[in-house]
Amino acid sequence: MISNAKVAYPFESFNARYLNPSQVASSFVPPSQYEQLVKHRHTVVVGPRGSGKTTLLKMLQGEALEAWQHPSANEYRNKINYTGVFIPADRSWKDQIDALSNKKFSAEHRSLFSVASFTTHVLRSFISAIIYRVHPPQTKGLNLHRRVVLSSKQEALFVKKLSDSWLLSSHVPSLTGLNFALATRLSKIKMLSSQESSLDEKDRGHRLANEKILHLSFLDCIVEAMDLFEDISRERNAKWALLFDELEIVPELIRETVIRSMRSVDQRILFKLSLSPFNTDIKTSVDSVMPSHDYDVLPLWYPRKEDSYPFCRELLSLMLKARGINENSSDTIFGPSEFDPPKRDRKNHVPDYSPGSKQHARIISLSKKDKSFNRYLQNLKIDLNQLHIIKDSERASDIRKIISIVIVRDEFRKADNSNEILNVKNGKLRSRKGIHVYGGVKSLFAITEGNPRLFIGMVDHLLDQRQPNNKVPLSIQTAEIENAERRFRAFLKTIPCAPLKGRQPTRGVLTLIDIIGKAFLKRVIKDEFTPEPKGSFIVDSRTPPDLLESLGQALNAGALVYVPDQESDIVINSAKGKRFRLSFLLAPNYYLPLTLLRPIDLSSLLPSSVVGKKTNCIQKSFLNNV
Amino acid sequence: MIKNMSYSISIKPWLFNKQSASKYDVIVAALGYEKRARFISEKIGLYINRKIASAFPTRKVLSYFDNEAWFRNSGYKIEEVPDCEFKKWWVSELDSIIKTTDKELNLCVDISSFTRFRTAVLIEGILEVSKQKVINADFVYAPAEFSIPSEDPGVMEICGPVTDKFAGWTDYPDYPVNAIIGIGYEPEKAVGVIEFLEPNKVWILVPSGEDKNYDERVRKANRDLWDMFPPKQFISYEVSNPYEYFMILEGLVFGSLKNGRPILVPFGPKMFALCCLLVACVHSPYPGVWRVSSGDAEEPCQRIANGKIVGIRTKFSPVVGSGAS
Repeated sequence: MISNAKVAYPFESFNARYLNPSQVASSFVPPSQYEQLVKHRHTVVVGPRGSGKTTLLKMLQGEALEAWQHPSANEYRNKINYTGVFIPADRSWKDQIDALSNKKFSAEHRSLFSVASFTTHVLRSFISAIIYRVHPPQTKGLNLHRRVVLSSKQEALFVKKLSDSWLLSSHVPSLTGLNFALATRLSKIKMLSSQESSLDEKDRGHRLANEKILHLSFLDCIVEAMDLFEDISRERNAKWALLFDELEIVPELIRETVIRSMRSVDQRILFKLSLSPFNTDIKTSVDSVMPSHDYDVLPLWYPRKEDSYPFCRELLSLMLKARGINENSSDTIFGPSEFDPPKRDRKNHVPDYSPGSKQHARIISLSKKDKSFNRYLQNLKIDLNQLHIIKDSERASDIRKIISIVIVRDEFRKADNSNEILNVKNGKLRSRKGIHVYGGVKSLFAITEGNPRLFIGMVDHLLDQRQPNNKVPLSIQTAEIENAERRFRAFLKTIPCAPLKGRQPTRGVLTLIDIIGKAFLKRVIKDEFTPEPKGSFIVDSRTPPDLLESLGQALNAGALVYVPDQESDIVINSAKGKRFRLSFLLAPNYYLPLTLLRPIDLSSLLPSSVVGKKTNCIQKSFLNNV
Repeated sequence: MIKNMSYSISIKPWLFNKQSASKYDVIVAALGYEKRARFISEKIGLYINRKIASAFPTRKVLSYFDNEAWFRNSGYKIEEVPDCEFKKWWVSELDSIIKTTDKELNLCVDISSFTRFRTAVLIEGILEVSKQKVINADFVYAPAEFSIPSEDPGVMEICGPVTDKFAGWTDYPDYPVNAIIGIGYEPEKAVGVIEFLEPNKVWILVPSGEDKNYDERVRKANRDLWDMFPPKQFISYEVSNPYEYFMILEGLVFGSLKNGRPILVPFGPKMFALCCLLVACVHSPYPGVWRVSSGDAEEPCQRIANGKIVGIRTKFSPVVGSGAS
């Protein structure tokens, strides 16, 4: 996100969006999904913000592949025998395209301008991919991938023929000249729209019908270019992958064409698309056009934290190596995570749960301050000094299961007042200040959710703060986690949310997240101890319909993590019936453990004033505007 | 690059001068709930014949009714127009004014109590009418005394281009977004919008010089920014010198256009927002100007002028050969 950070390492910019392909390649660690992605199949990569969708697509471009130095890079270069054409999109450009079409225009005319702009953008991306193949940089150490030799005469012929076909007047007979002509076309489309907005509506249809550049089909243009390129370069049956990033931002008509084309298009074209997990219209389009076996769907998130560990571990090793640090020293640098301790406390050789171990200390400490926990132990007839040698495997597993709950209750609950009667139901909370329970290497893996952008951003910053003993103290890790969490919460305020309390406006989806988080805090920390408290939720039928869109937005933002069962869809058009947990990045704010807890109906977490009421006119108007 | 502008703009510093006040054909102010809404009119309006106060149909609280009485008694034509009608009203108002004079039109626009949206629309209207006639517009602003702001509701009802006209444009959609953010005392909003826009480069403009309490409040509300970015990306500006920060903004945008897509996000003083809009006009249509607003959720807060008036002088002229008469 911040390219001009303080220290220059390959990881300094942690948003792949604006990195050039070689920069992306310099820090790319292939997650397990990459293996699937490179296959000769249409693929939809699905993930929340920052999950690495853009990076994966960019890593299919020739420039990235040539620069990539990973041990498995050669294997992938051999597998990828197509040319990747990366087609970026972002929110601010979408706003610009939307604004291009004057509100006075009809929907049909508005669409003409936005589709023509995006078509021009796709064609430019296509030519950029060819430019790399024909005119690659002379950098040493690149691993060649699908380069093509064209004489200047052949190039001029290609440009001439393509210019005619694409209605371009390129004054320079070169690929770069062609690209410039396409940029100029974008200017022209903007100008046409400005002019048109000041002209009489009466003849608009006729005038726009005569503007041929507004009526080009991007796919026809691409197929023409492929044919022509094959013809001139004598490359037979070459394949091309159109890599549409953030398909939900793409104008609807283009999107529909892309989705339809996945079924019927020229066999030389592969579509690789990236999408957010919640999409109302795209999901419906995809389902209606093609059966799921015609394309692969790759989820880029990890409902169970352990699944992200191998990727995080490898990414961290690469980051350490880039700084000249022993790549196996991550556990020493960040220390162990209390939520996910190593199998044995090797340093002291103290068996888990035995007196002297951290787990044992936690259980003893909580049993002294939390009467409901003490009662639980008594009911199970557990001897606290014999925890590590419990024979009964069921009881032993009971103890292991509760340890993450014990940790957060011990950290965040004040001791129950000794004068109160035993059934204390509402424990008092300690301040978060000075509590460093979320540190440790595996906790960092969990908190970043295997999200490369967040991981690189946080860990790079932490590595800058290593002490002379090469360690990053827990207090520094805690501060960094709090910073990341605060920024994330600020971002969540920018996402609109349906009103939750009557007409009272919300702080974006953060309001909804706070309601859910605080309800979990009550169940996990404040309420009477239970070994398996509820800490994830299912969107049940009593959830107000107005909230479904907001839940979807929270999911796309990464505030919620979708926990699909085996039969569930990966891309969803409704949150209804689906299970979610809060992102572990938000866990410290609500004193929650870094564990997937049991689910509860969402409606039971919401204020009674919100559940079951009818949609009022304000909410309807909100939904219409979303 | 698009070269279809049918107007040209020149920008100059502005200094308060009673003699020059009498040269204005018209003064336009906002009739709102802040006490400062009439401060400039009290100082300058006396010398001007044609006076317009644009009223808001909602939030008639605090000093609104006192202001209304004052504007009415001082000969102001009061027009209450909703946001959705504001452009239409403003253009027709300008059209009717330019018909009354053969010479260049001299406007005094007090933006102190206008919203950012309405300020943008005021400029849009001037741009439209300046295709026919030269318009000299002095935009003036009364900085407020520091007062503890009302508790920020934290709501972001609007997060996007201030108007379609100021959405910006690019011939190179693959260029990165570069954000130029003016900060104010709205807690964490700048951080939120940076996370939202995901810019490649960020410059942060920090207002200073009016009141130490204000400066401290701004810094506190944006404390994360200082952790996120190195000092070289922070640029301090004096609120009382709009021409200076116009030039800073212009330089940043000009540099950014070479290989990026600049988006300006003006929190902080309204004069800063105005300068962002003017820079966007100078480099039209490329830079975008965004607003991040709590809309009507924001608690109305009293603002009292600190006694200064700051301003910037603009000249919008039709370009010969653009079809303008």
